[in-house]
Amino acid sequence: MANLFLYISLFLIWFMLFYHMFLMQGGYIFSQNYKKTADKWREKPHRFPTVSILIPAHNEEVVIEKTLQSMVRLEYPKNKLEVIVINDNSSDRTGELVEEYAQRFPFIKPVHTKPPSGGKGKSGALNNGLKEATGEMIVVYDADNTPEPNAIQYLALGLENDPDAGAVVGKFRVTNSQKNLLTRLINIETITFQWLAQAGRWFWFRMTTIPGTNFAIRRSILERLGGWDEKALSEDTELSFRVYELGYHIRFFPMAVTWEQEPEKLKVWWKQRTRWARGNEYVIFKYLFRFHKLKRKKMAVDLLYFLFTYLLFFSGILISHSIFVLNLFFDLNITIGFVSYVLLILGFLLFVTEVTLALSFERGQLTWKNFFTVLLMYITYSQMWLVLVVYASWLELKRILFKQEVTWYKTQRFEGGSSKTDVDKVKAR
Amino acid sequence: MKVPSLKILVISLLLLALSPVAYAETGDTEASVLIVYSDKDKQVNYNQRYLDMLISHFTTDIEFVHESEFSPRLLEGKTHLFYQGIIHSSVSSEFQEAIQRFGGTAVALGSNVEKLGARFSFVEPLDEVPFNEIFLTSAPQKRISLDMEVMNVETGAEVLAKAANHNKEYPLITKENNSYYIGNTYIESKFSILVGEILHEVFDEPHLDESKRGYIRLEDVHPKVDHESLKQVADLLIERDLPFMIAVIPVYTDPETGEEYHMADHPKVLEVLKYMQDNGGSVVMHGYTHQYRSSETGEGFEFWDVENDTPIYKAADDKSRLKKEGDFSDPAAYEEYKKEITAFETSYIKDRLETGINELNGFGLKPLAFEAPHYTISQNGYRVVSDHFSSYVGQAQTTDDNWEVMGAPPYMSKPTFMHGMTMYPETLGYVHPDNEDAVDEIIERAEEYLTLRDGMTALFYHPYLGPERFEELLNRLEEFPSIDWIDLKEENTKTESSEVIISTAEGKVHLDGTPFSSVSSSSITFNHFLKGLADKATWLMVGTSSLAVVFFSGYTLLSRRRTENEERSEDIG
Repeated sequence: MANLFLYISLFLIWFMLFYHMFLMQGGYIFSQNYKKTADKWREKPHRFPTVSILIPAHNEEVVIEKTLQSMVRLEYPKNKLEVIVINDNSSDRTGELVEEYAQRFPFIKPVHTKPPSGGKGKSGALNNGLKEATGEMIVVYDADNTPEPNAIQYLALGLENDPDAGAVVGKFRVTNSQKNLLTRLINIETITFQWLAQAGRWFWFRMTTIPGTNFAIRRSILERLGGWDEKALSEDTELSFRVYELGYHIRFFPMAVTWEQEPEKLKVWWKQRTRWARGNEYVIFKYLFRFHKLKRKKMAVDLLYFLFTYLLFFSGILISHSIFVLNLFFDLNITIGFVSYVLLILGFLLFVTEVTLALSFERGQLTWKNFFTVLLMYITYSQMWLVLVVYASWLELKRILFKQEVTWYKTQRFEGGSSKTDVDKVKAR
Repeated sequence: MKVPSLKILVISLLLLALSPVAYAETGDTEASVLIVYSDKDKQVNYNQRYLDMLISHFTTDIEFVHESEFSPRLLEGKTHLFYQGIIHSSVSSEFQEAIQRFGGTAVALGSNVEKLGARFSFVEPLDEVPFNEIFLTSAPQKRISLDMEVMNVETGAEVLAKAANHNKEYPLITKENNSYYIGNTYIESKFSILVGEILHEVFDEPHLDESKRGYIRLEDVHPKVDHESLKQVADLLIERDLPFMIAVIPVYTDPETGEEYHMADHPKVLEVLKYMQDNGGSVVMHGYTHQYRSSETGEGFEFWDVENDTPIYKAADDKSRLKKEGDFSDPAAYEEYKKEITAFETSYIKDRLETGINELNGFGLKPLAFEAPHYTISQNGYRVVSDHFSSYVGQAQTTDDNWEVMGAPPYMSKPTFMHGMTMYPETLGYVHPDNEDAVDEIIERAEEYLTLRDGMTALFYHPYLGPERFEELLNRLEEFPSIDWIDLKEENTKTESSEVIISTAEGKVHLDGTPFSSVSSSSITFNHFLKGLADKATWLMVGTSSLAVVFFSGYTLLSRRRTENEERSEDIG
């Protein structure tokens, strides 16, 4: 019996690892080619579509100014650009700061919302902003983002050159990666996530998950979809699914870069990630049970992936961990033998090589310091994830069983001290 | 003659001409035999079955009748009449007359020959005399040593075989016209070699196209044997290109703990067995556990209750006493009881055969024949086995009264009590670990069996004894180039279970029934099958992911160089 469970868990885990290998291979090929595509498009004569940037801001006084500064620095015809900051029921100085900028820069348009129409979370804020937007192309930035000046140009290039793309997703980088161990780990994670999961899925399946910031979507599509799902905790994943369902793909275009702040405290990280995990679980349940009704079956790729991440892979790990622990105390007569150790080592090597490969695509990231952080990551950060999924699943279960309301937890911001240096360092090159 | 029937005749002649030449196989002649016996028991018992094994080399059309129940009608259509005089008894005048009138060949064995009338007046019994050698008159130099007694006779007829005691010689088998007298009834002994040779003349079946045959069987191979010595022993056969048999017991039962070990628990043994099977070895199913009650596999009996010396009439843990005929006042009640316990035995054997065949097949081993553990099984047992196997290997227990009564004919046979199974008799014994002369003794016996034109030289060896003595044995056996070593795969065997039919022809094993059905018929083989798949999958995972690790590391180096180059060119730019 123990053997059967061991094999089941082994195969669940390795199914996932194989998928990751496959995605990483796609990510690598893509990383070697996307710049050529960008060069080709840049050289072609092209038009500048009108762009509305939506920035939902709820109590963002710490970071909003820097974000608005970066908006000002955007290299895009200002007559084609509007920046709509949705000051969503803030109790701090966010509103004032936005108004200040709006007076200096006419393309910045504040929208102040109060309950009952406001204060309902990010989706609600975005929907409110959308009502004011006039651009053909809607771009979203989180309030802590500092996009590089050419980011909007690249997002526009993506949509202009790819009529089948419903949305174009850029890359985000971490400003405060040198702050502490946690941010270093998050930095490595985000780089890997984008090159493995985002680029890999784009390469093989023409699928990219909208990450909540630094993406452009056609307004026509948003209107057809009726905006964002206000019940969804991870509105971006949910939105991605609906875009696929319309028959569009979502392009990953890492030429468009934004810099954002990541949690510097474990507690903040925990809350943010719990929301993501719960949000993704919400999407699984929303679409899994009506999968037969979906027109575009390619979403199965993502649904299966989520299913694996949050349920199957995860159960595999839990089973194999428990077998390992039980086997210390009882003789479970495990027969797998030598090969299990080989797999254990290979699993670790795969993790290390995949992450370092992703780091190698980014300038200045493949350092010895980061390499050792990767080794450490496997036994710390990655394992924390397990606990988090259990916790998030428990919350979701409670929500479904007791029909609780979802509350949107906004990620706490930190004053960026040294964080700016990262951006400046790169920009100086 | 009408035209259509002419057509049919022509066509059938054509077909006959086209059909492959049929040559006489064991038990395939048109001879029809009546055996009249004088014995303690009116029922057919071991003496008759020994005769059965000898005669069924030529024909399976054999009818038995006790002398007291003889009627002349039984001789209608018969070509051969045998009289087996085991005990001194009277001979009815009716039978006496029938013998005289019978136009076919008549053979008398043992006692009462003087009462058989004029046809057998060519011999006159004197008294029983001891002898220690026997031989054919036509080949006096080929002597077979045998210590026994023979009915010394005075005869003027032709003497086909003689017994010798030092310088004295006595007629052993005599013949006048188409009547034969065999002066000894111990045909379970090596005497059967001479009788067998003479029977070729009796049945006028010279079997000139049949050769001397033999087989080597590796005995008691169960999951817990030492796989290394098994392989060493097997390799000696494989090197010599000798086909062989492997008596496989699918389950080993630990006598102390009662724990069972299957092939899945000892994959190394299974691996060696498959290697053997692929290189000239044929699997013979040697029971399922080779034990009953709490005895050890290989030691215990499986199809015989040794404690009670009865067939398996009750469950191993059933302590109740088996009833005897005397316990019943009503004979019908006894018959009813016998039926019940026989039904138990039938289902017990059937269950083990089914399980064994399916399990072996599930592990990729193809049982082509059956061998009862310790050669012990009841008459009902043969009937049950014959539903599953067409080939039986070893010696035959010939009575349900005593398991120790067993024997084997000197050549291939198809005993009627085996219900259609072909018997591959074991004639030479085995290498007993304590017997230093074992190999010499086997070779001496082999020489004796080789005096028979299609004699069988078959022996077995326990692989745990290691390769040394086996090598010696094989070297000696190779001195007999005339032996055609049996490869069961060439023999048209057939093994059947509810899940699979395994048949052989021309060296190929054919499976009927999906391998999966066989695999899934027992949880043990199914688990083994799954585990095999899982094992392969895990190594595939190892291979693929190792490649990925190598590739990704390579990519990293390439990508790093590229990033550095870009940086440099931008710096310059």
